[in-house]
Amino acid sequence: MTTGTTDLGSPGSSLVRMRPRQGQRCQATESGTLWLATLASFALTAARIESTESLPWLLSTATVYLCGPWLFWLWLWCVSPLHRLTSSGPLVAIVWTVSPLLVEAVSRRLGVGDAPELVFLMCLQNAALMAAALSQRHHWQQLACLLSAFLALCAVVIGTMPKVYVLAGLFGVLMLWWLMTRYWERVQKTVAADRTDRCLPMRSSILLAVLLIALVLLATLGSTSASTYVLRGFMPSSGGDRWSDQHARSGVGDGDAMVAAQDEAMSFGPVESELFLDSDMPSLYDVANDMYGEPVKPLKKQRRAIALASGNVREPESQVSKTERSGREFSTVRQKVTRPQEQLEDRSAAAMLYVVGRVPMHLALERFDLFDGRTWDRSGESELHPPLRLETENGKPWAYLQRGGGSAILRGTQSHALKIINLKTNRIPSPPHLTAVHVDKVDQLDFFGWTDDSVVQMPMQEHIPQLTVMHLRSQGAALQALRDGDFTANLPSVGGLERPAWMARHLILPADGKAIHFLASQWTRDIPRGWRQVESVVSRLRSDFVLDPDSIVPEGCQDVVEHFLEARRGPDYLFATTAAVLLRELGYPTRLVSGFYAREERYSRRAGQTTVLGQDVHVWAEVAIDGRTWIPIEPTPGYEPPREALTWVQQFSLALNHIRRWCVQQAGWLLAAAVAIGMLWGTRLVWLDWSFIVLGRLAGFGNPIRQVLWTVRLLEWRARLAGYRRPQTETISRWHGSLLLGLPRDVATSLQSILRCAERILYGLPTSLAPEQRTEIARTRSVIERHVGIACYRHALLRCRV
Amino acid sequence: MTQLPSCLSTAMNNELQIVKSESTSQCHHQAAIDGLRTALNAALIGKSDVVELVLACLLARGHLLFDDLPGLGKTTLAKAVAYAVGGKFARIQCTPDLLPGDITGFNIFNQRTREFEFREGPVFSDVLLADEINRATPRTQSALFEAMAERQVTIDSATFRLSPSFFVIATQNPVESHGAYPLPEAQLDRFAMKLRIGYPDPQSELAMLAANVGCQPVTLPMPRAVIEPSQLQQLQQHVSAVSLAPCVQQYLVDLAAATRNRRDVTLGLSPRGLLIWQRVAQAHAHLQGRDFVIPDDVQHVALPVLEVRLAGDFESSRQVVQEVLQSVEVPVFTGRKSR
Repeated sequence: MTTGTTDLGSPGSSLVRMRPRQGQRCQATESGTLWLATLASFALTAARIESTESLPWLLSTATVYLCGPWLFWLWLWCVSPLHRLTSSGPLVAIVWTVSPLLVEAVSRRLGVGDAPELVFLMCLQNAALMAAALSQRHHWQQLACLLSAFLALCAVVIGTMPKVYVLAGLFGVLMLWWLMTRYWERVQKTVAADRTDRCLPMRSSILLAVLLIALVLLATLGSTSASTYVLRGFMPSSGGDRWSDQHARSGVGDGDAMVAAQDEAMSFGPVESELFLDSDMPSLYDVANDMYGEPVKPLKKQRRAIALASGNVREPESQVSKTERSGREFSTVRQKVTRPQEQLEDRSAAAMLYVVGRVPMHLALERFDLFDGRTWDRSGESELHPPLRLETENGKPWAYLQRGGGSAILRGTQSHALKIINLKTNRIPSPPHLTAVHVDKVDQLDFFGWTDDSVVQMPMQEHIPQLTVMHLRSQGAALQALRDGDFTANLPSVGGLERPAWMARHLILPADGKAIHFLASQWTRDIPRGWRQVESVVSRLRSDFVLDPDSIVPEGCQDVVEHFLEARRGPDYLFATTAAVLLRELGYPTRLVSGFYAREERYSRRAGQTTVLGQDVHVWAEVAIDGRTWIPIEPTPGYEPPREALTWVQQFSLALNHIRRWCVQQAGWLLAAAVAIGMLWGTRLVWLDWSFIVLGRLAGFGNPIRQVLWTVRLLEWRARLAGYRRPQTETISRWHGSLLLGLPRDVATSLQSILRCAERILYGLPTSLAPEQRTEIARTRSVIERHVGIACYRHALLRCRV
Repeated sequence: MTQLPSCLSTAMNNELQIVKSESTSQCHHQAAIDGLRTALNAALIGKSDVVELVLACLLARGHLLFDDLPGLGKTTLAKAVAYAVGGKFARIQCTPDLLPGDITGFNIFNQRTREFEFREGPVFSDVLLADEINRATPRTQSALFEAMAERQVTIDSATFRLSPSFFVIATQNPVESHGAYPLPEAQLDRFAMKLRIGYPDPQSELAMLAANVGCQPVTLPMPRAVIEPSQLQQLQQHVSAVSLAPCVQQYLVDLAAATRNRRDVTLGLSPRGLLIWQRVAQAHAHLQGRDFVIPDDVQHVALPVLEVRLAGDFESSRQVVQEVLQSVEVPVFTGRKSR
């Protein structure tokens, strides 16, 4: 913005110099207005993402709604402000504003839809965007700014994600800039035109104030029921007492979202639902048995025994209950379980827990260190853990476990929330490398503790109360650092006799399996010792073996690993067991982990959480890289390996690798497409020219006036293709007449004749053409089609350049 | 905006030549126009483009201002126009001591009749040549305002009608010359166009020298009257009937708005100037043998029409006019649909 030099001594002369430029458009404020509307639209889209059912649909509609006004603005910018279509701006704005309603009507038939208030906000968004596109007129600019501000406000109110607030902040900054720009523009005009502008439009302000007061009076003085009755017709919203919308974002009273809780248990709150009260809460043992079948009791073997004196026999102090005892071990030999479809559906209703945060994720509940060939068991010897520490962050107590905090390969922090629904255990389902736990208002450290198998528990509870929401923080492992060296060098003397007890426990092999030894060494041949060997074993299992939950181990089998290696198929616990045994054979301390696998498929975008069901019980393994840090491995195909902590560069190279792999896979198609595109590009002038000739012939069929005009259009098109496009400020005879120099006499005459004819049609009085003129026009046109080609324009261009 | 390549200008000129040769036998005034054209081209050798514009100005009933250095043929061309048009010719040699009454005329007391009687000034003619007009004081220059705009003069409460074909040809030296007063904007706006003659090309100079051998400077041949004033009026009437499509008129209005919306132009095109521009474009179209105006006509006469009346803080009015022309879209296919 330039204000020019104002000579206060001679106001008359300065006024003349600073005469306002009424018709001049300011691109900065115009594009600024459009950016304002765009930011507000981004904020609304971010808020919509939280509750959408179909992200692709949302993104595509949002893109279309956004691109339309931008293209319209660009077009308006290119054409003259006096173009006849600019007067149809209001009509375009109205159509664009109501288009979300039409789109919603169609999309609901396709099964996707938005909540009514969102649809209305989209209408508002489109109105703001289109008004901004038309902001060459100042009143449209003001309207666009007002609508954008309202839209941003609404987006902040309905959105909960932080990015909405970031966008709103950006909007505020841009709004400030916009207001300043507008202010200075106004001041400049006011000074220049020597007039006084009222900053506040008095008449409309008074009218607006009166309307506002009337509305407030209506809302306060009128009875509540009456006003809501009146307003109900105008303000469709979620919930209500008689009508509900399946696309509602949330419910009040008995809206759909609450009703759904009786069927799907997706919401929490004071709901009079008996769903949880009736449901039986399975213990971990029950969950595993439901999934994998009952363990087969081992055949009793008669062994020779020496009778002991009764005094040497110690009675157990307390009776170990069957359930607890069973929970301490994990049998890999189980009965076949039948899964009728109805049962699955019933079970799907009984969610174990919900996970809020990034999935897929492994949630460990139990760990086993001893394996006898059939059954995994816990030795009961607990590891040393650093003491828990309580820290208050933002008034919330966090119990820090400090576990793994010292390991160099653990990086980043991931946050998850667990909503415990139907799980009878006091163990906290833990993601890998759990660092901190927060349960609202639990600020006593003794609420948390470690089990002997290194799982965080709530020791004072029999089981975690239902509807408890737990916030967890965990870290990711940067495996690249592991791959570069041999991590076992950090372990205390791998092959030596003085290995510590914890390590010895995790290296015990069930039997002297030569086959196992052979296989392990074969799978890791030529691979340097370290994490690459672990990955090699895991990848062989994932690629060469088939996940088959129904393939069980025969009852009499004493070595399930051998059986699995022969059958090459089995349930996930056999994969994990085999991986553990093979890795132990190679000298890597390994243990078995059972817990839940939060599947990506069960993520509900609307609820923003992932449901974990009973059938999501899963078994995997962990490898110790030092005395404290255990890295989970996923040997079962079909389950995502635990996520690595990657740097930006690694993520980028990973993405590049994905793209490269895809390109290699689709090489044939890509090559064919490239050749086709290349050929089309190489011959583009030819077929574009032909297409236009055909189009012109069709358009001008039987009408000589149209034939003349389409011939001129053909000339324009060819000039454009040759890169010699006529500027809009040049006349046709001047521009195309420049070809006359380089054309043969008869062709030049034809060109001149058609241009003159076009001028008469375009600017002269309406005339009718004699039959011989029609023939002449047809002949001239064909001469021009044949002889005034793209090459002529290229020569003209060359002549100009020379 | 794209600058017009020089080769295009050449091509344009060539094309115009071809267009010019188009038969316009329908127009029964063509002989008169051709006669005028020949006479003027004979008087000013090698300046056919200037002659065309002079003719356009004449046919558009506009007044003409020649602005150039001394000795380039301003007065010669002005006199040639005056003689060729015929009718009563008057000439004022403007000097600083020239008074308004010397131009318009004055009342003088007749001792014999004991009454005031009116002595007509030079404005009571068909063609008035005001030579070196910017040497007269602004007060004297202002005496021409009413005559040029309304073709009448008012002296001592009495209004006198001038000839219907009253036509002022003024010459001026560039303002930088010594002893020159700038013409007021109000007067400039009353001229239809300002023309610069420029130096002739070498061939024309050779021809000029050859024609001058054996001639006395005082007896330089001046063309005989080609047409009568009444015939000129008919011709002017005929030209004013040349049609303009609404889109071309809209184009003119857009161009006028473009001159007013420029920061460096303090005095944009006035409505009077817009009317004159339209008339000159009509005349140019007629000279090209057309009975309708095309945007080329508007563009072709833009520089002389705008140059005389645009004022502001700019170096080159030619540049300003070029930019104005390149800021407004020429109606091509949009024009026809709106009709």
